[in-house]
Amino acid sequence: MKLKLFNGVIVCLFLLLILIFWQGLHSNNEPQAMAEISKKNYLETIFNNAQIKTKKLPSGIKIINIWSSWCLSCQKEHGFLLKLAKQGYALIGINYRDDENKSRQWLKQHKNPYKLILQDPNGQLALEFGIAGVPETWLVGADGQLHYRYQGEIDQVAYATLLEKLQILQREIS
Amino acid sequence: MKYFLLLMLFIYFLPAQATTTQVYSFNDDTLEKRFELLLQEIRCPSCSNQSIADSNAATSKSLRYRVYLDLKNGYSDQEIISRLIQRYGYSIHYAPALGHPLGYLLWLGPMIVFIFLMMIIFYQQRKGQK
Repeated sequence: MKLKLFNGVIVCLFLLLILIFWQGLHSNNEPQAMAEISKKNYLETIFNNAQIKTKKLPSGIKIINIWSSWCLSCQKEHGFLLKLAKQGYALIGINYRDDENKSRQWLKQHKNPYKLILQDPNGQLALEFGIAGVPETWLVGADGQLHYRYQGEIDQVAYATLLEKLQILQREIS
Repeated sequence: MKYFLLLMLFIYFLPAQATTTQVYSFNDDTLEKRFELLLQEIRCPSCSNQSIADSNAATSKSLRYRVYLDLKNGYSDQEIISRLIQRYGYSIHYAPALGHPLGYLLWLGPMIVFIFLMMIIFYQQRKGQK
C-alpha cells in the first residue's frame, strides 16, 4: 500500500517536471529581462543618459537600426532599409564601434537611409538595447516605447514582418 | 642558429600578444581585482559559453568598457550585474542564484533531493532490521 503511494508520488513529480520543461519550450525567452527595455519613454531615458538631445529625434514612429561599416550583414540588409526610408519611415542609425569617417564614406557608397545618425564608438549606447551583435533593428512607437526587436540581417521574411508590425503601430495612432 | 631559434620563439608567442587589445588601468588594486572577477562572471552574449574576459567579440569589448566605467563611477558589483541583467536577461550572469529568486532552487534542489533519498534508504533499512 505504502509502496503504491510512493510510486504515485514519483510519477506525479515526473509529470510535473515534464510540464515545466514543456512550458519552458514555449515561453518567451526572458520576459523579465525585457521589462526594463519595454517601459514607456525608455528611449528618452537612454538618450538623456547618453546626453543626446531628444529634441533632435524625429517624431512619430521610428526605426532604430544598429549598424557598422565593418559589418557585412549590414551591407546585405541595406536595400531593405532604403525601401523603408522611401516609404517615409524615420530611421535612426546607431553607428556601432565604428570610425566616423569610414561610416560616412560607407553611406556615400551605399546611400543613406537614416534621418539621424548617432555615433557610438565605444558601444555604450547599443548596450542599453541589450545588443548581441550588429545588425539589430528596433521599432519604436510614437509614444517612445520599444515595441519590436529584430536581431540579425533583415531578409525578405523579416522585412514582411517589420512592415506588418509598422502597420499595427500606425493603426494605434489613428 | 642560436639567433634563429630565438627569433622562432618570439614568433611563436606573437599571437598571445595580439589578443590583448586594450588594457584597462586602475589606480586602485582592489578595483582591478573586482574588475577581473566581474569579467569572468559575465557571459559574452554573442559567443557560445565564453566569458567576456576571454572573448574578443565586439560586444565583449563594449561590455568590458561598461564594467570599467561602472567601477570607476563607484557602482557595486551587485549593481553592475543587475543593470546588465535588466538589459540582457539572467543568462548574462554565470552565477544565476545571485540574480534570480529561483536560482537558489537550482543550487539547493539537488541537495534537498539527495537528503530526501538518504532518509528513505535509512528508513527502509531500519524497517528491514526489525
